[in-house]
Amino acid sequence: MKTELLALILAGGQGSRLGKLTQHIAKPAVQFGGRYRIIDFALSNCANSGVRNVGVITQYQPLALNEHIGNGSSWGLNGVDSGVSILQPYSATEGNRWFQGTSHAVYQNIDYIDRIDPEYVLILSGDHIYKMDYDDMLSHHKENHASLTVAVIDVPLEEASRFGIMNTDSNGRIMEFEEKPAHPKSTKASMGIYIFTWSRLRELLVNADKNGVDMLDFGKNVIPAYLKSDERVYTYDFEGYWKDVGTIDSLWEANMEYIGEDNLLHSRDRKWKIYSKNLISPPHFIDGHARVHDSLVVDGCFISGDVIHSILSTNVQVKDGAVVEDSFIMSGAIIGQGAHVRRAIVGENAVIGDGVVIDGNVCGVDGQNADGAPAGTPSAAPVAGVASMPEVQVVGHNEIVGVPDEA
Amino acid sequence: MKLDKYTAILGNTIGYPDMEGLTDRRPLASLPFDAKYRLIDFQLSSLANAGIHSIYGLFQRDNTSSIFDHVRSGREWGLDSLLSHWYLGFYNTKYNDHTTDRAYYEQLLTFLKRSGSDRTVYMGCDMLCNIDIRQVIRLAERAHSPMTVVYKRVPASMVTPANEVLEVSADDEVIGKGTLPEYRAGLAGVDISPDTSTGLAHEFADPDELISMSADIYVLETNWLIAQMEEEVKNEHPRKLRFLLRSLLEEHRALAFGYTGYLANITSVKSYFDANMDMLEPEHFYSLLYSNQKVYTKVKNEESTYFSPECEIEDSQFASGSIIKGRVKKSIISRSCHVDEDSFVCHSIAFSKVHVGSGARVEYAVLDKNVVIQPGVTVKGTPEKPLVITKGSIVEEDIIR
Repeated sequence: MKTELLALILAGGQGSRLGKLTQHIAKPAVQFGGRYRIIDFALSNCANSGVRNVGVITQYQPLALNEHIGNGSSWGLNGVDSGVSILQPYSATEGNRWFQGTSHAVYQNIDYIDRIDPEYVLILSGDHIYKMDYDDMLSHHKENHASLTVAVIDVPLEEASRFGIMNTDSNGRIMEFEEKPAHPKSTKASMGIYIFTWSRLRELLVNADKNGVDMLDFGKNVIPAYLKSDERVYTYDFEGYWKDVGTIDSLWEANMEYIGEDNLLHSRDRKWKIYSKNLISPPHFIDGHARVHDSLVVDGCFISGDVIHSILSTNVQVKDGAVVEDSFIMSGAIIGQGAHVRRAIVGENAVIGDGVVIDGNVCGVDGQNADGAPAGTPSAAPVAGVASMPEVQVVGHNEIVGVPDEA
Repeated sequence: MKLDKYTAILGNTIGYPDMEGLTDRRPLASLPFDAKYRLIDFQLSSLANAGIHSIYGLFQRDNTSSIFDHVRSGREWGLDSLLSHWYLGFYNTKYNDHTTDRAYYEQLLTFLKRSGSDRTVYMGCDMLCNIDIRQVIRLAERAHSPMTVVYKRVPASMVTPANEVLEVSADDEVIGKGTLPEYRAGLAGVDISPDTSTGLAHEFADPDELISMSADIYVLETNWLIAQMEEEVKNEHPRKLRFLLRSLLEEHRALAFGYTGYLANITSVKSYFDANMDMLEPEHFYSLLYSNQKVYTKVKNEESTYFSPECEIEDSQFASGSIIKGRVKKSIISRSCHVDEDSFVCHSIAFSKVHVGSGARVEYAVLDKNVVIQPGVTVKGTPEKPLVITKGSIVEEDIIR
């Protein structure tokens, strides 16, 4: 049976702007919101939109990502007519196949796509936080008889020059595409979400390779080529919360925006649940000394200290007298007695020693080495002398800050 | 380890009349526990942790949908792989009956004979514990014992007439058994007839005296068990497996294994309530849920629990997906509950999807699934008699016990 729609999630990017957080894991595998990893949003959207076949294209540090996705059962993608495939670069007789760009990665997996034999392919990035009905986008694609549909979101004019901007006619047909224009003519920013009619894209990629034409990147090469050959290229207007969490600041901000009884994403809406691989843990325990205000807490946490406007992921411990404020704490982290963590992201299984202060509100001289740690001054501490804007502090995964070496 | 070396029979409980509606619509096995679990999770997890992949669940025919819904394919306990077996067997007789019909044994015998296993573990769902079954199996194998029973030294106050008390020799062999009064009478040399013994346990007991109570967990040689069952099934009214096994303990001088971890004997609302409250003591909580053995349960995709700026929390536990705006003290709140502003929940257990309205007060109560306490209403039990609000009730007027 022919498959109507195959989703390909591009999850191979290094995400170098997330610094320590992506040192050993791919960006889509970075945790978010207490219970999730970033890629869960794309995968859950697929599941909720009825997309039954998903290929996840990985390249950079894929271990955590592969383990997380497994056979796709956490998203109900392990049925008889569905499946998740992890697509990694491999060597072949014609040479090694490292992915050199977004569309190149798709071209290199042409055998996989041909086997699924889809009518349309949906290209997604694995590093956006949003809820979107891809089925609705597909209906638009079909209604327009489009060969390419690009999802766009309205951005403020002053920010438009940070995005790929689509200039359209009154029907939403794309006339012109400008990558990060200095003087944007519209505010319709590409979300990096595309639906292609596969036969046409396949032809383009195969011919380009045969003729040695550079066709490595969707934004740089493929979309301009489509426009040049007068293909039917349409926009799909998306309304709702959408956040690219590619930087420390945006990741922190998106997490802070997530806190609340409701949030911009309406994540508690049971009609469009976000699924994830669940870590198994007992209920969370808040003892008689703790204060928990305006915060999100999940299973396995043990709280004795103060937690204010923060997110605690699975199995986080906040010890007696510790204060966690405006922070996102990833799973398994331990905040020691009397430690203060403010405006920070603390990585998975990190240990913050007793009394250590990590404060993203106090920058420069004040914040520097405030813990007086004997060995290995935390790299999270601001660099001396660079007194500037407050900056979100980051403690890496498994990093140990201010705990004397017991050996 | 060879996969099919061990099998298990997960027995249902005998009936307990004082569960006040908590078990009207569900077997005790699927009664929620500590915000996230159901009682059956502990047995299934113990078996999963011991690498036992072939399990026969024995349930009374009525009210089994919650078991199906919870266990489904057994994925969470690793029972859904190709080489695993998860069977459900049903019987028609009442919970309280000691006897059953022949079909009960015929199904079981088929399962055991086909399994080709060396040993079979039997456990029920009323003893809440997190036992390392491998340890018991190892002991049984080393001693070449056809029958090994697990017991725990507990205060006499925990023992009910439904429990079996064991007399264990210095060589860890069962040399005597009976109900608590029978056991005490035996020690005092008094003859006490069975019909006057029940219910008297607490009257002449020193509540703190330590008693060896059977946990009704057994490791049995499979072929030996088959032989015993085939003998029993010759009777017109064969006894249920639990009672058959109890009857064999003394005669076969069963090997006794003393369990030292946390154990709760769930036989009444009070004991169920107390076991939940035990989880608010870190010592018990860690013993049951943070031992080397993980406890698995059905996966639910829930959001985080949100604690509002005005909430006040003291010594309480929460599962995910709830919105907490009121005051919660010494309580256990399950998934997807709402505790509204200015409400006060104290010494209570809320099952999933409970809504406590603003200004409401809940003390010493067990709020079953989907219960709504309307704004300003007070619901109050006592430490000795916690109040149960049955599933789905909407409480509009004060209930004070």
